[in-house]
Amino acid sequence: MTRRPMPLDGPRIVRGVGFVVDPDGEATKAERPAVAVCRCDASARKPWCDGTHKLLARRAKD
Amino acid sequence: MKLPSPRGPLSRAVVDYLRDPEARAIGLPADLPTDLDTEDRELALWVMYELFYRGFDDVDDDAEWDPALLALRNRLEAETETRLRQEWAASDRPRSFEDLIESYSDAPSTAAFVRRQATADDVRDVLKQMSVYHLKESDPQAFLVPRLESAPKALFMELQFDEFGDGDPERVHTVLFASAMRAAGLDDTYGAYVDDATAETLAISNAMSMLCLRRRLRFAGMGHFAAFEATSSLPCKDWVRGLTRLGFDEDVIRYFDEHVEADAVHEQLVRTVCDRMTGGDPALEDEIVFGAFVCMELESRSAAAHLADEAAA
Repeated sequence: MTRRPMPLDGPRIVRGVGFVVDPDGEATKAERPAVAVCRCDASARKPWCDGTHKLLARRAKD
Repeated sequence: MKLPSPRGPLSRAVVDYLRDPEARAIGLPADLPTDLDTEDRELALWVMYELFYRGFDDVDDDAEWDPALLALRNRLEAETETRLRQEWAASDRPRSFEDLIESYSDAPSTAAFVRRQATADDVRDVLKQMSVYHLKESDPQAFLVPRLESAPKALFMELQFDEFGDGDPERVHTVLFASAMRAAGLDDTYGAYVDDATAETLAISNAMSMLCLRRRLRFAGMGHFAAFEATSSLPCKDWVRGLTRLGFDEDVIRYFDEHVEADAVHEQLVRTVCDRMTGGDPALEDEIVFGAFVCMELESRSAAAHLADEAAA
């Protein structure tokens, strides 16, 4: 039973990768064993999550 | 670190007791007052907890397990826990983890102050307060590890490994914070600013120690940590913008910059740690949310007090 569900547009946790490659072929080095990859497309630090999906969720509610 | 300056009868009794072997032979005063000034009380507790982290240069290491101090700590912790549970019971905040932390999204925020209007000296004042906890960042939660079952433990260690530098001593978060302190022109010595710490700052540090050192409270301890991590990425972005606006050195910015990405990972990991700890048990779930409330409430009180001081200055 999950009480703290991952938001739908929240990041995907990816483990054990050396690089993340975006659709344009640009590679970013993963500096930590587990990384959070942006799925809302609004992060200012793509490919990484920077929490912006939460602002989007807040704005959608208002 | 040396013992801090006492701020009232209780912290004076504790400091004198620790400093003077003869006083220890006599014992702590029997009737220490219970209707205590908060600052005095929080400092006394902070000193007793610190014996479990780094200790004090001027105190015998065995004082950590001194029965008279443990008895006093038990009494103060019981009072603290009762008060926090009463506040939670009386609070009209939402009872689910996500809704609870979201309900604080418009609470007073030091990060928003730093982003918009803080001066460089204001920032240094905030960093001094933060240093009371951030120079031992994630150390309280390390005490939770042996109290966890395997499933949450394995995931929690992934998070802690990142807090402790992913195997690189230069990337340990306390080391990054110490670099930030130095680059901001501050003393990075552990405990250097405890005499400047407000009651609210000490209360934040003490709540973490209580929830993480007392095994019975481990669910609240993890809930507290989960709330802390889940409300870190966006404020750290505010910090980066404020520090950049004020022209702070790269090493100051780096600490907060690292936390935007790190805590975006950690908040997802720690959510699952909490799920694995409770297995959906409603009573355990309530404890997680209680811990989250303690985190959010004490942080927002500290920010409110700090912003009020800044407004008055």
